[in-house]
Amino acid sequence: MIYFDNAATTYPKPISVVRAVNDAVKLSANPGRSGYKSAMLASEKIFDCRQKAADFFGLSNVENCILVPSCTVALNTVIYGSLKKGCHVVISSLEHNSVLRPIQKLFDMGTITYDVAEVFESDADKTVDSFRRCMNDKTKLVICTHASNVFGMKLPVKRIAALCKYYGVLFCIDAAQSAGVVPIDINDIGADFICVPGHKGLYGPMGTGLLLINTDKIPESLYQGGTGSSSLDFKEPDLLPDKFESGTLNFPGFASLAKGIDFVNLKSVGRIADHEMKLIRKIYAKLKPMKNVELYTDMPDKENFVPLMSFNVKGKDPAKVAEILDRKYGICVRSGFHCSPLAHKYMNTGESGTVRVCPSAFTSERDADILINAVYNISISKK
Amino acid sequence: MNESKIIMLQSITYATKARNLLLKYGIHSDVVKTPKMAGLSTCGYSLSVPYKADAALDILITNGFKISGIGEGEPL
Repeated sequence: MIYFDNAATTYPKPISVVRAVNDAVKLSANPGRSGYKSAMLASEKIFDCRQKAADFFGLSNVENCILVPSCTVALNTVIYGSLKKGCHVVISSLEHNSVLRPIQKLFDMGTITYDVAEVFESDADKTVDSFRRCMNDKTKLVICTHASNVFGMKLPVKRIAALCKYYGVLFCIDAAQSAGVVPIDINDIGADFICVPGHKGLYGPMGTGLLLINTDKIPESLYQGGTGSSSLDFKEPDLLPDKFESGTLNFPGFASLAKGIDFVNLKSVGRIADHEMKLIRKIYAKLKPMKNVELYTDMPDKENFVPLMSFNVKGKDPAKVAEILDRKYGICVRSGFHCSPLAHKYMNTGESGTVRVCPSAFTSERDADILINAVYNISISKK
Repeated sequence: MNESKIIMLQSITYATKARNLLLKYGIHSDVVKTPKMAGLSTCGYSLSVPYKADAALDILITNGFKISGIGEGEPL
């Protein structure tokens, strides 16, 4: 199998990650509840993951690194926990449904209003100005993706953060496609929140995510329950991370996410990004001259893109192309709309979507060559 | 005074963070489930500091840790 669906979830996982899941399941103790040896060991591993994640993203207070089940849960926590009736929100024209749908839901309920700031490919000035023009005196939150999950374009988040700081607006970044391939320091960027999946560029298992909080404007929690702290108190503690971590944590998931972060640190974000960008540029360069293949952006580069891209074969449904790639060549890609209707509206690909390819640290030049050859064959085939 | 102390912190995250901070100052401590002791409410986590407990307490307070309780002597 040749795997190019790493924007959905990275595969394979490092062997250290797989072993850590196995070890944690065998240990099977509930972290942060009891005091016997295995429970304390589980708690240590949870703290280890939290500390590594905080360090990875430059978060100085380890307790502000919240362990959540997914990037979507982190985004929903910021959105539902921060917004009250009458608030205005700005999102980008490249948002995933994990941002768009909760925002749309609050809009439909009459709670908030929102505007969509257009993103201009490789033009930070125009993009930042677009965000500025969408803001008004009721704007409470700007929330946007760090990079499009369909086309790979990066947003100028540091400049948007500065804009938000100037206007006193909270700023949240969806780092679903950037964490692990773009160096991210939350203080350097100046974001209030960063939401991260554990199972993509950090090479952890599914069911893990991070909410990084870099502001004293703490959202309300979406749910309440047992935290292993202040147990006699009827009220949920305001304490971080407990406020957002009611219920038993995904111990196998986070114990192994720590190993995923180790893997990325060992390789280094820069080297992983260089490797993947080299492959994606090669694929782009080889697909570009194919007369029946449509590409949608300029040649990806490290400054303006994360290493992923979309394409289509003229006259062929992307789902069919993906099916042929799978059945005939053993190549895994994702086709369709990638949960991002705004991005397809932006790129006029809303009718049938695209085929998306995304390499990982494990993808080889040979994998890329096989993909290029397969796409060429499909593009000249009359079937 | 260099007696041992049980220093109760707000949560296991803070207890572990405090333990790691004290290690940087050369003070050993263990994260423990808070024992039943005078001055401490149970169902939480503490640091058991066998030596230099007063210095440890100073360091933690200076570094912004909230101390939920201090137990001295033997657990009940």
